Amino acid sequence: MKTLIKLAWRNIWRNKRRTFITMASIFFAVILSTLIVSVKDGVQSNMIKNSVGDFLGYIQIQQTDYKEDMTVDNSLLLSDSLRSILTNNSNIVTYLPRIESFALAAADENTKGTMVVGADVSKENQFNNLAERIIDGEYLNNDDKAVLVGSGLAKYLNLSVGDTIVLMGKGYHSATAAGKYQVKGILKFGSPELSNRLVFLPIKEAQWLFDLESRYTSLNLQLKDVTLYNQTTTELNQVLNTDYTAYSWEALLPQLKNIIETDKKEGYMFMFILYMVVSFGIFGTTLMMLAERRHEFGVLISIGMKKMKLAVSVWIEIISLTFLGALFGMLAAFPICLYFNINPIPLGESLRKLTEEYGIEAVLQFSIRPGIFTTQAVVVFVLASVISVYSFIKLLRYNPIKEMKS
Amino acid sequence: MKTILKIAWRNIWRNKVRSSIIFLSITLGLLAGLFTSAFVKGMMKQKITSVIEKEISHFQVHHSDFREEFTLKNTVKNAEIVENDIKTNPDVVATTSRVIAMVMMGSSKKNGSVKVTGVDPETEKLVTSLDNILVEGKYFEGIKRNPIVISEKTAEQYKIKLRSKVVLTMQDIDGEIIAGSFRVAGIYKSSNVMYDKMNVFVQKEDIQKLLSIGNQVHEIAVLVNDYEKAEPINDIYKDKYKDLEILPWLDLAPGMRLNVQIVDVYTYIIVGIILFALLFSILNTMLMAVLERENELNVLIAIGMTKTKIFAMIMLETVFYALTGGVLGIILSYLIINYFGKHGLNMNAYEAVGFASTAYPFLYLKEYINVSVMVISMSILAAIYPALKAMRFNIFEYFKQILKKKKTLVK
Repeated sequence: MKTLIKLAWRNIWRNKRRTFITMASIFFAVILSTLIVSVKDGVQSNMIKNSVGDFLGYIQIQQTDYKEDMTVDNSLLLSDSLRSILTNNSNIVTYLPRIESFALAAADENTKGTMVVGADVSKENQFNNLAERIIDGEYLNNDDKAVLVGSGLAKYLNLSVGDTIVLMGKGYHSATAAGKYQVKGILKFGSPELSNRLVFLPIKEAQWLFDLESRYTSLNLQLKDVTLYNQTTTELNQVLNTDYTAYSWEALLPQLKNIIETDKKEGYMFMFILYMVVSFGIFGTTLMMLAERRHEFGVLISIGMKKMKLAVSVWIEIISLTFLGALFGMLAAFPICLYFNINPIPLGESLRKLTEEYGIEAVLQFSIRPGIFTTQAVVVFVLASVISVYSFIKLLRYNPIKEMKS
Repeated sequence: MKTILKIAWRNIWRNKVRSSIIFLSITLGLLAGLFTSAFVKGMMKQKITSVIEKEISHFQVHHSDFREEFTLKNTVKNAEIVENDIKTNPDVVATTSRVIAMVMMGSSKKNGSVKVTGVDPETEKLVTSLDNILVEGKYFEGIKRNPIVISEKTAEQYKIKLRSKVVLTMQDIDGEIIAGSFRVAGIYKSSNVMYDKMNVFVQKEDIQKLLSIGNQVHEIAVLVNDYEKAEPINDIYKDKYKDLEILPWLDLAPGMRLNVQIVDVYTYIIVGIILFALLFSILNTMLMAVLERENELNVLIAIGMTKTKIFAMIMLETVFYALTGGVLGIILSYLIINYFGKHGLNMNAYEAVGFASTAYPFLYLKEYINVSVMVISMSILAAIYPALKAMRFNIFEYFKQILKKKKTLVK
């Protein structure tokens, strides 16, 4: 065995040109497949960040029925045991308590159905920079008896800062919820849907308005590592009793989840095609190598080398080349992805206005999640190893006389 | 030249293994390039037909403030004249006008806000095929007074069935609160749950009477015969009716233009990467092939073939490979694309919301030609380096080494 490894090692360095070409075919295969996955992954996490990160949050804890039936009757109580569950999970930084409900908002002339959100305004600002979204007036304090309204809603109701808005809805256990508030500021969100129907007020006021005492409708969790949202959701649901459930954004925004799923499937298709192309490239190189070394193999078998030993030695050769190629490919792909991660590709001037309007960055950002690099290196390595089986079988069936004659 | 052509032609049939590898990698490359383009195109068309044509049609006409303010009084001026004018365009397939209001809908179980659209049943079905997505009941038929069509999801949430009564409460044009009762005539289900939760449909005349807006409408929706023509046709009318807001689908759905653009750009990147992988695999194979023939090529040079001719010969060989591989690749791609174009390529394990995601790959003749020319010229490009390499063979060094080897063998 030791001799075989030595033989393989020396063969690699004997013909540097051939070694280089074989390695390069694997090297480039790894780089290209990593690039595809990286751009795909980057686009998707940007998409999630844009639609989830700001307001919805990656995970919410709700009373189990609230998701289907969004009334304040299905609200939750922040008990000590719930609080300790949240502080004991290492991925949770903090929670933002919220009250979300439907109410009719009325100003002088018009009325409109709105989404009323009560929140801990100072904490909310700390994590979601809500104050930056104020386009007129001022941000709230926790003790204010005033509201912020979305820009679209303000326009519809013809409201400006200092005007009065009346909210009417249904409170806890069918109590009537009615309140009159001054508009302290106007908010503009990336999503026009949010801007068109949002009324935002301090949590204490919302609790009073809906007669909720110390109840909330949801807790919006802030995570240390947002990519672990799935794991954290599962962990929470294992310890929460059945009345309360942790929902990840996938459950809260199934349409986004579906878009991303479809996008992933499309990605698999592209990867399949790319793997097909690169496998054939590697296969071609292997075949050429076999053809080129026909004479050498013939001589080796003629002077008494067992076919099995020859096959193993060539196999070791190919595998080590593949391994090195994949390794270098992985190392070379990283700086490319890192470059495009720091300097994302802009999507052109015509979209500048749109992006400002929606607050979404119109760029293609590459992802540098470590998993991408190792996965692609491993996949290409496995592909190349499977292809090398061909040379193994071919050598086992070698007919030295026939091969050397041609 | 003729001789070189002949030599090149004969060379490619001489070594079957080598030829078939190069030949196949070009075929495969072409197949990959064509199929990816067809797949992306099919996917895009699928998204557009399922989301755009069913929900927002190709372009819409509104009062210039309607989309922003969404108030009742923002009706389209001279709607009938505008609609009839648009209808005269030969590329326009159908038009329909609608009344839109946000209302409170109440059943015995639940109250909530929904968007009610008053439609003209006859023209509406030509534009959005609303009648095709009914799962229960009939399309505005079977109910004498005030029929309403709701979604399966809404029926579930409000716990109502066919022929159940719902009450719509709204503000009329004078700001008075009014209510009308409607009976469920049909239940629909689209592929987008969000849309289903929000939208109910009634007859235009019924809601016009309730809102006391006469025969005014808020929206004219237009369907043209090809989604790619939507924007140019839209622009004709945009310039003609400057006081109205006329927008194509790309600008009607929030963020749509952005999404389409992002998909476009990164599809280009992906196709680019696949083509690059192809370029590299052909270059690699050609390089191996040339280096393998070192002896042969050196002998040719030794017996007096000029280097330019060697270069020309290798390039010509590649052209032959590319052309034959190309023809096979195109035939194969055509068969595969047509097969999946007919039977569909299912991309979705569970159909929940959003896009219906079975891809039906398709490609126009123009694109077949584009991609084929691209792949074939790339294969030829990939041969330049190996051919240059062959040109630079140093025959003296080569034969010196062979002599040395022979000497050591003799010893």
